Amino acid sequence: MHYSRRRALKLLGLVTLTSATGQFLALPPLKAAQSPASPAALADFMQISRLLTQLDELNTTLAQALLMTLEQTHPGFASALTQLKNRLQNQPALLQQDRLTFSSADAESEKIAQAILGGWYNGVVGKGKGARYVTYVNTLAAQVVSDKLVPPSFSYGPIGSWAHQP
Amino acid sequence: MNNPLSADVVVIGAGVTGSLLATRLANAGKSVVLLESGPKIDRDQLVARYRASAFKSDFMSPYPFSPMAPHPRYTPEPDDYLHQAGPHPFAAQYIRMFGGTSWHWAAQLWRFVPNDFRQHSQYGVGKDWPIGYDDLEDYYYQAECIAGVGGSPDNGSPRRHPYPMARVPASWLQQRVTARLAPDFTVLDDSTGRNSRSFDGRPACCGNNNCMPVCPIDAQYHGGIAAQQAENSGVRVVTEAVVYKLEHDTQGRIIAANYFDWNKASHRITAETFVLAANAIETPKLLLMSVSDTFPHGIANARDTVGRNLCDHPAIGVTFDVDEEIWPGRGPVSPCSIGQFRDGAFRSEHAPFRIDISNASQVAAVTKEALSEGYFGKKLQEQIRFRAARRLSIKNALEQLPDPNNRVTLSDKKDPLGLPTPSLFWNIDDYVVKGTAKTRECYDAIAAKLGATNVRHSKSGKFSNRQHITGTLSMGLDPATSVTDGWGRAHDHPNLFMVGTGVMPTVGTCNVTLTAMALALRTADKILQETQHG
Amino acid sequence: MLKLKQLALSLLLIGGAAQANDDALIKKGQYLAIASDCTACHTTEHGQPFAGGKAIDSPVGQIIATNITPSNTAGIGTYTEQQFADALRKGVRADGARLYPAMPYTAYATLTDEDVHALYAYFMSAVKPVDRVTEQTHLPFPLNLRVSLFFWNALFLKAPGYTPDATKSEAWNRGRYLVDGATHCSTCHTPRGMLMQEKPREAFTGAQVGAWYAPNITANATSGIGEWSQDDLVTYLKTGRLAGKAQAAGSMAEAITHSFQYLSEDDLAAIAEYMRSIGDSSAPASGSSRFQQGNAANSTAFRGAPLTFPDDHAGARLYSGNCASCHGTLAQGTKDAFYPSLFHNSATGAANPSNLIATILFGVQRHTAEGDVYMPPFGAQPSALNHLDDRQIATLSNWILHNYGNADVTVSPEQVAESRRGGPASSLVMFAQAGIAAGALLLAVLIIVVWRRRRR
Repeated sequence: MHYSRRRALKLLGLVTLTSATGQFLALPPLKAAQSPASPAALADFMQISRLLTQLDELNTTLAQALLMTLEQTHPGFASALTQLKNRLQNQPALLQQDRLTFSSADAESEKIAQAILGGWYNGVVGKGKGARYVTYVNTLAAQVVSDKLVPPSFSYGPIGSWAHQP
Repeated sequence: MNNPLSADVVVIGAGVTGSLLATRLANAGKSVVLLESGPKIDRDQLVARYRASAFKSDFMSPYPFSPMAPHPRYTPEPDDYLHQAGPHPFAAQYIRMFGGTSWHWAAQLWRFVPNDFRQHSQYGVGKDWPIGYDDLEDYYYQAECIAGVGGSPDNGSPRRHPYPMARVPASWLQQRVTARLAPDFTVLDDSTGRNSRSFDGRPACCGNNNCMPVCPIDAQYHGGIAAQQAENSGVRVVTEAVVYKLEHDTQGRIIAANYFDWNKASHRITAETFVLAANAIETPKLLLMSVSDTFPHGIANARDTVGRNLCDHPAIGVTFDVDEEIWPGRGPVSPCSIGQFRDGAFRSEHAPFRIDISNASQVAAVTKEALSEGYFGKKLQEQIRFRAARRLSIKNALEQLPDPNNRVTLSDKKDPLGLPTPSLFWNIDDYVVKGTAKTRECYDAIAAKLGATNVRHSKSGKFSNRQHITGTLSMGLDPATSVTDGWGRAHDHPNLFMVGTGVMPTVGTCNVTLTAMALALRTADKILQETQHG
Repeated sequence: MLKLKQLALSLLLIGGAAQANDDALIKKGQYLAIASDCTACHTTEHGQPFAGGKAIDSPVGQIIATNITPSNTAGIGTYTEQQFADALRKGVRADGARLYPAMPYTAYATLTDEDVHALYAYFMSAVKPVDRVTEQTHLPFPLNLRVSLFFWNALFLKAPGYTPDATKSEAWNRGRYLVDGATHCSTCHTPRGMLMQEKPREAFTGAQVGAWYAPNITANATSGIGEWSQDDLVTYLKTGRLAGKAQAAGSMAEAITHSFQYLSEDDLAAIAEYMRSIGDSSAPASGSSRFQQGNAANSTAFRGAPLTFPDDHAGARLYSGNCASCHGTLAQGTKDAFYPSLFHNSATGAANPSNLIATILFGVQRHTAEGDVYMPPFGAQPSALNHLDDRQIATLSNWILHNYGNADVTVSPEQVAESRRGGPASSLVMFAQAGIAAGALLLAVLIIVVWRRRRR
């Protein structure tokens, strides 16, 4: 399946750059060949993301970027998303353990859940040749440790500032 | 001038050693051309590529791959540039680019210890070098001054002058580990070319924790800086120039180098002196490619020695979670190590080794780990925080003995320019295996002293490569078992010199770049001495 | 016998007291020399103190600072105190030639006789003589005629000394004495007229200094530093920075490093008190200051995109690759403001982008008790591989200005090129030469007319 990674990320770049003023702006008009996430899909994605991360506040711009990239790296993502939503709604017990343990029949749903969590936490979607970078500094992993660490390639502070106990 | 036709000296390979040698020759008034197979890329582009990479744990990801000057790649999928012919894969990693491989290192700049040069006479194993520590001491210091090296003076390498750079302050992790491992284990500052003050027009380290793959601010010395200094000193650098053949005259003097540009047009350059600095795999490849009637097995290879004695530091590792929060990821990634197993009577029985304690951020690694274990929600956050605060990653560098069967040859495959790709045969000897047993004991003792849980050793029988590639152009007194003499000059070719880690006959127990830099400066002085017209 | 002993003892005591007085005088002279920052021009980077030789870039050419060590052959060793005072306050050398006002004698004219006496004592006894003659200054015609300064001084030089204002406090007067005199702030911060004289009615409202811009430091809240407190200004002068507002670079960084950081608390407070009384008659009635521009960006605003050509996000990518490591993904700097944020920063908030361009080109180097501040230059780094060309710096500057600074300001590659060359050149030389040519032409015409009349 061929898609234009360059175009997808170019679009994402536009989206995020136009958000630089601190205001959320609507996505710019898209070319015909590109299919953005429908509002319904985005709402589903946000709901599932909140359930999986157990965080109420998730960045919507990042969510759009993740969703768009997931749709383009995982064939049939839209239906898999719906399936996952149904699973989580029908089997609330799935989210009450420490770890995700889907039955073997629901292996697909588990993979999708992992992909979504991986996207939010690591900022990368897909594997191997199909892996796509979506975000680096805004990952949830970076957020979780942000009181102690700065993501690599950003300065911690002047020479020696790392000597004190964090 | 894009394609100069001649120069006093032609240097092939714009890595750190070739660039240092070229700079010294140019400063002494020689006309020098430095040919580099790869491109020249600005640092800010490399940083931007890093940030946009989906494979941040692969240190090669910021560096562009050039089909015309290919190098090994492992993500997203391994390429087939290197052919692995032996029982253990030699997963070499190097960069063919202006500045060479040391773009993505942690600026480890160690001196050998004196016994590293005479392991055979001292311990009855391996080889003696044709020179000793004293021959190199002054050049070690010159190289340290160029790179701005600081570290612990009591590390087994005697010094006549103090380090030119003050030590980089230790992170909390280093302080805690040092305190808790004493007195059984002594943790020392690494010897590194990292600025603790602004020096050489470059700022002091500010804790980007990104030394590998690229320092965003050049607070650490690397080959890119050396190559730029070469250019600033008047060396004419030609990038995208892939040398494919050395020509010689009836006396065996090298008279010309032939190279392709990336449009596959061939160029020829003549010189009085030639220096090969294309790393320990690509230089043998060039020599083996340069066949003629007089030298049917390639230049400098009349006795079938080129490419043999391929060595690296095979490495095993361990990770575990310490019982207190130490938070790796603050400050430089490779700040300290344990050096007490580098030298001693045991070297006649098993491999010596150095133990490196990593300070690289573990956030990405523990996140992947926790995700793969199925964690989600709040528990995932807890696990990431818990592990990122405590995860200690340790690996070693074992000295491998030179074995002529470990070697670089040419494979049957061709790259896009039609040049043969390298084939590597690599095996691990018993000397190393016995050393790994001793290492594991140390790892377990260290883990115990740190109250560690979740101890995971790397897979038994498997070794990773540290990329300290030596041996393939060994210097030695006997041409039957070496390629170059004590000055790095090819035995059969009086005007052909070689620099880089390939000329080192043994790999020692520390990172090899400072030794190669010192040797390169020494070879440069030799060339100047011989070509000065009185 | 006793009388002799008594005499000897009293001579010793007087001598001792005189010695103690001498030491105190020399110390005072040294302090004044630091406050006057003589070393900034008269000491080269690796040279001996006050031995001169430094080429100072001026809009009309390079002016070489002289050797002011007490060397008899190469410096001021033979100067009497009067000659020293005249050089300092009247711009006249011992041989009678005029000094160019790159030597701020128009400011040092404020120094009192006592302070000149102390400076003389310091330079003559405590500075090591260096017998190295400096190069001569060669400015283009007609400025190489130093005699022309006779007329310039007649128009623009005031009489030496300082008269306190009795209606103001002692601290205010001390402040004005220092500002107008030793620390010569107006020589950079006051705009100059056609003949390069300071314009007193626009005092401290800002002026171009080579590639840098010395900003408006009046107490006006919009155009100047009115929103700074007394402590803020003292902190800035002592450390070279004020978190969330400004940092010193270029010549000001040098001034902080060599001069201001060593001034006493009282003197710094006095300077601050005086400066906070300076008004700006031409400032707008309202508006935001250069310290209030920009803000942190939305948290997803910073992202890389794959490196492709042509480059759509060149500004963002240049920022990411060159700046973000130290200045942060949101341009917020480090938590302790060691690396300053790029918003709420006068360098990006000012209406004149000179300082933003110059900072990128030349970097920042400051050394204070806090430590070593070093931002590398991106115009021509000697070791590293990051030379940015004029187009790149313009692109980067515009991206920073738009996202974090004064969004009304734009930078062109031509501006960057001019900055790289050392800033705008002055048209004074051109006008002077044109004026002389015109005068000569007029004279020639007159001569011809008169000669022809005579012939008839």
